Amino acid sequence: MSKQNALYDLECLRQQTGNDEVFLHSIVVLFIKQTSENLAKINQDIQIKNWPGISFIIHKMKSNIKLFGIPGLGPAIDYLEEASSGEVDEGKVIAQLKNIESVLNECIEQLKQAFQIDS
Amino acid sequence: MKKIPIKIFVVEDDPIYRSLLVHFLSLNPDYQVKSYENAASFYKDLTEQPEIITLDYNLPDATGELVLDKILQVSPQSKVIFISVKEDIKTAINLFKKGVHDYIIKDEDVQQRLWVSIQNLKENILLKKEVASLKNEVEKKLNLQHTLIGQSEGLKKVLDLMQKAAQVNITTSITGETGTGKDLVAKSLHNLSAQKDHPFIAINVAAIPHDLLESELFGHEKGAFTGAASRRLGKMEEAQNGTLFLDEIGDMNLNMQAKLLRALQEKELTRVGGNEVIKINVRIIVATHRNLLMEVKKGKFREDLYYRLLGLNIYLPPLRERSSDIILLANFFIETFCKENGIHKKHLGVEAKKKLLKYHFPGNIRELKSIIELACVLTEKDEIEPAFIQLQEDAHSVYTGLGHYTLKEYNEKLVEHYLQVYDHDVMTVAHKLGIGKTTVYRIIQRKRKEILSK
Repeated sequence: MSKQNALYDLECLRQQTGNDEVFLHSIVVLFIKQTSENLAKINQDIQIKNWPGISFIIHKMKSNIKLFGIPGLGPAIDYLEEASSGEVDEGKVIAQLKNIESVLNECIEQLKQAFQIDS
Repeated sequence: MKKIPIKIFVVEDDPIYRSLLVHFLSLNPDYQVKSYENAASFYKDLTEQPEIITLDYNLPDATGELVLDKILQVSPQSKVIFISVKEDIKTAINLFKKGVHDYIIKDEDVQQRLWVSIQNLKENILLKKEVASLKNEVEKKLNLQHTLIGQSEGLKKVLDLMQKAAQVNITTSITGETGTGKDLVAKSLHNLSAQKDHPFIAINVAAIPHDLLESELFGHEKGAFTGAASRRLGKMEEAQNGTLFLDEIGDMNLNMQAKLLRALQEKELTRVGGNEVIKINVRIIVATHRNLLMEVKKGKFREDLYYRLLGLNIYLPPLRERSSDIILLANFFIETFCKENGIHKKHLGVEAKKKLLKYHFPGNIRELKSIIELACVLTEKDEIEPAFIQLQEDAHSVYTGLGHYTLKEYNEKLVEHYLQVYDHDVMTVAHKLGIGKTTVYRIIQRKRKEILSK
């Protein structure tokens, strides 16, 4: 995959892992596993309208999304972090979540290819 | 000196950040890193008192503030660095007010900021650890040097038992004649033990009137008895988490022995005149110059308390059984006395040494110390001559003046001497000399008659 088409930028992560390729690989595997689990949890929480729960998961995912240099999700994340308090616009929340889910799923696929990780 | 690693606990529920922080920190050989995914698992190890804790503000089972309160309670000297996704000034200010060392945002600079933050702490922590370690080593060496001078086999055995006793919380009984240094051994044992950072409280049972001993030991409430104007903590409570040294335990009366036994068994006490039950956690060291087993046989000491207190017994041999240590001890006392009094250091002459080595030292090390200090004062020259070694002639003559007495007189002197050493305990004296107690009583009666007829 060309660098231009990638939905992620690992420059920051490479720095943080001290360019240790083996360690970097293990972190990517962790990210794929963690993100997939979090997306599954979010979908469960949507069913039961657990908005505070969704807000907590999104808050936790925020730092990893930054770490993996995934652009364009900042406004959606900020919105969802705050969405648990007060009146919840369910339609908007679900739309934002689906957008995040779509980008992250695509990102996971790209990472799997780039790092030759089996599903 | 061996380098002591800095213990760092990483508390982070996100496995990616946890891995990154542990990986990054573990690259430094000075750091010993452990990680936790939630507050509950972290609390279990908090008593290990890590020097640094990096703490995620949003854990799944507790808020950052709650975890911080727990840290301040259990391990207040630990330095806490919060790591948070969110830049929240108000939260950060509140945390700083509580004494947090740093508040770092999870972004691309997190490692750099963490490195700087820990680096700022590192020098101070390492310095403190080195000072504590050196202090510990010096204390251990000084303690043993000041209490246990000598090379005799008897002393080596004492030293070995002290090391063993110090490693565990076992009741220790120290036995030996008056002046053998039981109190100093007790203090040293405390300083070598895990209780060393807590109080060492000594109480001489023989020096306290029987009626007051309970209040002295267990404390009293206001108005418990005439003169009890306010609440007073007892020695046992004062020694909480530390060591209580009960000197001359053999002088405790039976009534008080029962109360002490109950307190030791239940690990709790009630102040005189009070109802509150107070839990106690105290290491007990006892000492006596009496033969406690003999006291048990005579019905003067409770058997159950005897076995409760016996624990590990350290017998301090009398100085006459450590003759190879006499000159070493004398030299130590000369050096200490001259140094403390700002006088030129003196030394023992050959004849003075011979005189000391011939003497029996009924008062043991305490007596040797006073003989040496007096000799230092009396001697004007650098060398201490035998004339300035002033011994107790009566006691001395029992062992060295054979030519001046008849056999009968000599026997009487010997019995008198042993009566003095063993606190007029006829049974012990008879046992030590291998004679019947009637013989001892006969000699006592004869001496009484002699005194009355004069």
